[in-house]
Amino acid sequence: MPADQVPDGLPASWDVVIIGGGNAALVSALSARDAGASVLMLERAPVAFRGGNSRHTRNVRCVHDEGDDYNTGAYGYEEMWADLGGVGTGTNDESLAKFTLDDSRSVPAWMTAHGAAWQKPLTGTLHLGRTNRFFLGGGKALLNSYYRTAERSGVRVVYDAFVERLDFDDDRCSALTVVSGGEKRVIRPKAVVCASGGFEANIEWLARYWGEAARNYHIRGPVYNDGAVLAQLLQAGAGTAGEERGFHAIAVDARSPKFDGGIATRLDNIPFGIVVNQHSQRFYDEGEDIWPKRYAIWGTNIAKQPGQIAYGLWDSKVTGLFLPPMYGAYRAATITDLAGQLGLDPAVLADTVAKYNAGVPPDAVRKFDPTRLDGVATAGGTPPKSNWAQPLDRPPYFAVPMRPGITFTYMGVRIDDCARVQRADGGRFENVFAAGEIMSGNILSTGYLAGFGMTIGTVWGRVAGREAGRYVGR
Amino acid sequence: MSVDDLSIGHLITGELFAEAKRQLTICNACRYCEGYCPVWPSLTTLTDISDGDVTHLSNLCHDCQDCFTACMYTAPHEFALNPPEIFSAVRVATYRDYSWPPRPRWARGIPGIALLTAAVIIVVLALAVLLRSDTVTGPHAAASPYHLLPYWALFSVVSAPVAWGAVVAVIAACRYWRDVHGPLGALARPLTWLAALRDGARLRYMRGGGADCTYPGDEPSGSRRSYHLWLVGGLALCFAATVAAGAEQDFAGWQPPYPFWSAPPLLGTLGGLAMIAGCAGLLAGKRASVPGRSAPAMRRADYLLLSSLLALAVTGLLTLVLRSTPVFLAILVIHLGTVITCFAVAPYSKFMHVIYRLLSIYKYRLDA
Repeated sequence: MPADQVPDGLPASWDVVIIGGGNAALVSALSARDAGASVLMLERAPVAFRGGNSRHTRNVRCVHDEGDDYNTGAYGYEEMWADLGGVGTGTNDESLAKFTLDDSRSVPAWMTAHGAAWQKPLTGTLHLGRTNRFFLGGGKALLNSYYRTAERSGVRVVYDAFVERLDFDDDRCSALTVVSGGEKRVIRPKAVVCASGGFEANIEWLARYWGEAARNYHIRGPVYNDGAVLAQLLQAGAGTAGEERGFHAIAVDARSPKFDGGIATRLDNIPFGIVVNQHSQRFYDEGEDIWPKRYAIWGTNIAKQPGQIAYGLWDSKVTGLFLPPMYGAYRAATITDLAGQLGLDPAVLADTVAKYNAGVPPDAVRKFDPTRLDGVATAGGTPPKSNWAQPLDRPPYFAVPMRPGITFTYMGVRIDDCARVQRADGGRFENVFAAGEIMSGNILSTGYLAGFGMTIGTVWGRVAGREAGRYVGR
Repeated sequence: MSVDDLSIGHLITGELFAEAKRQLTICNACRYCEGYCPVWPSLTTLTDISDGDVTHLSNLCHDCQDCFTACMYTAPHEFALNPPEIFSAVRVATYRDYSWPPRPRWARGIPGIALLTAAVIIVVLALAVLLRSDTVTGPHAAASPYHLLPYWALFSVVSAPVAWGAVVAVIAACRYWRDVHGPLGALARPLTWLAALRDGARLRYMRGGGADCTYPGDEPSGSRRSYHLWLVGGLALCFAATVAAGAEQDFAGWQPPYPFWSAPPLLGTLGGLAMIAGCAGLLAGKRASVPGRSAPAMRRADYLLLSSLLALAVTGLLTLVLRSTPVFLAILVIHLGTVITCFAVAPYSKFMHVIYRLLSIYKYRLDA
């Protein structure tokens, strides 16, 4: 691929400079280019890791009034609005959220026109096939298509390009100091779109809110998402949007890499067994709700446990009912042997399992139904398990160690309905726009809907690119 | 075709299946590729991946390489996934391990092929001198293969390797099926065969679920599939030419040489040209392809199969074009040497991908 590692001969002046290399950055770049601007993209990562968190995405959630080849049925505005209100504390800026949903209707066609290929709903995507549209091959395949379209249309992309400093002249960003290929250079943009993501890979920053616990978090996306540009904007006086402690986190395998483990390290065993902390105690209802809805609560659950580690246990009755862990599972003929392998106290773990089993109803195995909320709940005992409460009694027994896996952070910069970055003092930055994760806190304060990050990135990438193009074309 | 060295990077043969299972376990926890081809939906039905599963999935793979370019876990990511490469290495192992009796050591690799071809040519020449001393060296020698060998002798020297190749291929197919699936009785489903043959003939799964192959470069392209279809179509036309010639001789009683505008030369010419176009396109693609997405042993096997088919087509066409010149019999001997060697070696070569891939498509259809 024609990629510059060292931006030799790179002009210093550009109409629109996009900081970032993921979905929102590419959509901004394509939109600004469509508006006639000369566009430079500065991607922090090398080619192999380009694309930020979008590398690990798989689908986009848009309002559609009827089904088609790629969505099994209609998903109307009202339904999506209700879904959005049902997660976390709901929307942050209601008018921006409403615009996001409204504008999402035209997102799939725009994506197709800019190179996206889609996948028909298959077994693995069926449960979201009505609401979400799946990229053929996933997020990286989508990004590859976008990068090809961008390069064909004349967008200049520089990889390994770290934006060290944004210089402001009153409310205008006048210059960017870029470090690339060991060289420092100054780029003079007429407008800037910051689509550089959140700060989830910046452990020090997370530690400001979470203390030492943050050192035990795994970061599911690339190591490059350190929020350097967000920090620059905040320092320059940008207003914030979104909860500063807010993040999306799930349970990932404790054996997975510290960064960039993506989708493969997630664990789906929780509703099928029990979860204990390092003191071998259960601490949260494993059968609270259907798994897709509770998927994202377990990252925080584990983050709150001592040592930020937990252990998921199940028995032979349920193997094969969920996605096998990519690192395999610990396996033993007895709970005490399993405790030995995990480094837990065997007597305490055996006692915890015995207490849990004692609370399980006698007809649990017969009534167990993983396809719905089966109401098979423990009696007494704390915490309860409200559904799928089968006993752990058929050896061999299995276990996996789990850690919080942070997907993204919520706190970003505040924007207006033109995606223009707002100042904390009530003013605004004239030529600085934001799209994607860096502004998702305007839409969502906490909680998450699968595929909605890509919706925000695409909707606001289009706005930011278009508005930046309009600004320089005045 | 040298299929002995299966090394890819640091891997030796014994670690091949372990490495394939490591990679496929990660793939099975991701599943983003399931829209590309049947390999990935098939994988999702497995909780424990056996050697037979690895063999089946590897041979089901049509090498479109879309999964590689879509993968966020390729090197330098520490998961270092490379399904097209590991699948290709396993396929080479399949070609080597399932053919029985095994290929003798002296007949392996390019030297083996050269040796075999030379031996075949010497035998054909010896037979010609023994049986056709009257016409083979005469000044009027031209245009009919029966000036070289009498019909029965020509028929025998070509049929023997065909029969041999067929027997080895059938044994290999049965052994393969037992490993990837089980009872041979499961092969008796005519409707499933019909569907599998359709999928295979149209190279349905070399289309990346509509995205086309990211081959030879990183741009999606349907060129490989097109060239492959040209090659297969050309082979089919050449086969039709042979059948037509047989029919004209045995039923109509016409003897060669056939006029150029009759079926056998015409079909053979079209077939030969299509094969040359297909081989040339595939060879050019192979040369331009991104290295590292295919095991070196598979690249060698590809080059050898394609050059063999190219040699078949070129010598065949030359036999036709030069049939009224003094070099006719010489080029006929070379063509015969190529044909006989190819048939004899085919069940030990990448040619067998036709059989294994069809069986795996059939299995995919059967399991669905």
